[in-house]
Amino acid sequence: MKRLLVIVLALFMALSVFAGCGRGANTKVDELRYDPETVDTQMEGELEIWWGPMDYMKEPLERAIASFNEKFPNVTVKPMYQLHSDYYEQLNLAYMNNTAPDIIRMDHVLLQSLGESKRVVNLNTLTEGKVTEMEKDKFLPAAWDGVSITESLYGFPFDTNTTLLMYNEVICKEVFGENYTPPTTYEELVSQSKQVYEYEANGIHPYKGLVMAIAASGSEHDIYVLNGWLSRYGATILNDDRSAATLDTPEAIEAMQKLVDMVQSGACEYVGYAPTLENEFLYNGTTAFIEMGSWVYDTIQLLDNNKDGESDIKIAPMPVLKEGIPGYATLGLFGLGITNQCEAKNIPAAYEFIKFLATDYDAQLDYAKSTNTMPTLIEGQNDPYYSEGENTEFWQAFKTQLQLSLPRPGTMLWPEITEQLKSMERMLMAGRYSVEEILQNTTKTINELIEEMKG
Amino acid sequence: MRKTAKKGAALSADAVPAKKSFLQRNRKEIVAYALLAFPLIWFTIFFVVGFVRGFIYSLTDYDLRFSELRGINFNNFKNYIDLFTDSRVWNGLKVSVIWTAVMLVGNNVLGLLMAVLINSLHRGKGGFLAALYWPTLVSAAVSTQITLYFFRPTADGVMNIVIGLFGHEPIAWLETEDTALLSLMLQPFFLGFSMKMMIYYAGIKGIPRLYYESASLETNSRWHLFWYITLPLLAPVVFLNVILSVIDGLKVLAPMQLITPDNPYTESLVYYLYGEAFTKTKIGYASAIAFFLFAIIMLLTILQNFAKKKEVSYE
Repeated sequence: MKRLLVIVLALFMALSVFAGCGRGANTKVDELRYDPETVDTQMEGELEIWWGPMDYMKEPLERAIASFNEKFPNVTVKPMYQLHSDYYEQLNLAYMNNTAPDIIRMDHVLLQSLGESKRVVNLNTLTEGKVTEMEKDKFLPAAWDGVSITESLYGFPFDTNTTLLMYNEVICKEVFGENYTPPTTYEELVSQSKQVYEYEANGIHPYKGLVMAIAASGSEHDIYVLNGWLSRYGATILNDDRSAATLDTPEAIEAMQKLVDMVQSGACEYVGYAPTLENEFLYNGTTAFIEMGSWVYDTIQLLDNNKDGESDIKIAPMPVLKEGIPGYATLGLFGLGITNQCEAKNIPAAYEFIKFLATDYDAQLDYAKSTNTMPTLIEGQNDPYYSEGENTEFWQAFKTQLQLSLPRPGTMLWPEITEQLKSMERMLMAGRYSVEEILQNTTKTINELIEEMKG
Repeated sequence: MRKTAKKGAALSADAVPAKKSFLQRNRKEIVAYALLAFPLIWFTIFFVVGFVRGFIYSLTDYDLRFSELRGINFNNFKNYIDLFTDSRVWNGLKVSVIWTAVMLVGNNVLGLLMAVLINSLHRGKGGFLAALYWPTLVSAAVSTQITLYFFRPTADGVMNIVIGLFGHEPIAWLETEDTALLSLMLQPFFLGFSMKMMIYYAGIKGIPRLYYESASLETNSRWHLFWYITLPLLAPVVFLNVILSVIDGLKVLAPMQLITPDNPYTESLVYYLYGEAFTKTKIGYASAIAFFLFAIIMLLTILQNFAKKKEVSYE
């Protein structure tokens, strides 16, 4: 008898080996087809979507689901709210366990990376190219390109943003006088930043000039800034087809040399922990210049040290660093994708839902306004919120900069490349080797990683 | 049962007790196995299955990014060979070993000291134990914020205010090579002894008073009593705490992940493993690192077992 019980128990334990296996096998994404021209509004489906956890992110989504259900009453959409800080890690864990959601909202670089590894559905394959024919013209070209790699489309562009030079007007007027004008060139930026840093009041140096996140931990803000800095010298991280690193080009070397010079001259301070940068600038009011995006709009309204009822923070276009090259910034973009773990029967509903979120004017604008980002719909850019009223100047500047924003290169190797770029920045700041040596070494390492990936 | 049957043969048919059912006969075993089943299945799912799966993965090139494109293939022991030439593995191990050594010494010395001091009190033992155990109840998120507040790189960080009093420029404590790991270790060094203290205190309470009474005939020195009575009889507890400290230390992850993410100067082996597994999705390689760490911990535990020459008995 005891033997029998032991066998039963052992059997249970053996069966538990299969515990944790998720909802089923991965969808063969390349084999699925859906015709978006013949929409069945009575279609059924149960979808899980991963979304940001803050109230200002949740509420627009909940309104959008209600609106979607008026058109598709038999589709159930269940949001799962995930922290941004480890969203990608949690998603990878879910992929491992076959419990990934049906729909994700992701930074476009990671969406492209997931697409390349066939972990999100290629919408052009799914619809046999009809999605591009039907929807592409509605979106900002850069946003559409940001979720594509050549002919493959890995999601719909959803919300976008970019950075401008933000400056503390109270500090600048104190240092430079009432007729202050923000810097427009590298030389002016360095000069003004240094003057702010050296400014003395009551026997102390109370202010910092330009502060940048370099080799920063805790976020990718430094890589975002680095990409913009390189762009303003005509340099890139990878070549167009992402097959090789381009950090050893004369443009990239010049860009990094100028950055190092600026830091070494004391004109620019850098922080290695990205949240410090935001806190210092936005709450303490002791930093004169940073590069920052529109998402801090609500926060900057709070900084009013001179109590004139107006925010101390003002915005200016990105300074031109090299003659002949515009003041580029980095394109921030989030896209909506369908994972390859979405069951085949739910694919039509998933497609219709992400299409609704991205192309429905009200749904997209609701989210963009709530999060102080910008819509990716061309029509949405002309919405009164972004073009009229008291915020016009602010949004006009960001909309203009958006036209001069270049994306980071999406590739499967992005996590490794990010790591190499942070390491490169760290070495540049340490100053033990020449800029050229460091950039050549980084290029070589990235190229080796690319070759290894191809193999 | 057999005895009953023999006796029954001499009795009338009506008096023969009814034959017990299968469930009645094995009631105790069924209850025991049913109760055991839950923890055992739980253990199997989360440890045995994970362990076996992890070992199999460690012999493959499993990478989530390529598994849809190339499948998962055995690559013999390539992952294990690669990790021996991976400088970040050795850097991670170095950080983990430093962390372990510092916490092992700090937490155990402070824990034992506090336990002995509290035990020597005539009143208020419970109050002191509760007060000193309290830091354990603080959540990781809160202690993270405290560390970040203390070591802010700006002039208004607590440590920078202190060094500012001596005319020193602010230091980016948690960022630079010289200070990052040291700053990260300070709080757990001073406040991480609570659990060890409780174990030592329980151990001290378990030492029969008889020994102290006999020894007091020879000496009144508290130091001698501690050195010749308390410490030798606490040897099993010390051994337990040392093993716990080594295991906890070598698998340290949370402070690096929450306070100094992406900082190579504080990257422990488990934090490196975490990044390889869930950011780069190199599951096969990360599994090999996990088994490498497992082997180190097992080896150290075996060595400690050898070092523990004999069991101490209070009898």
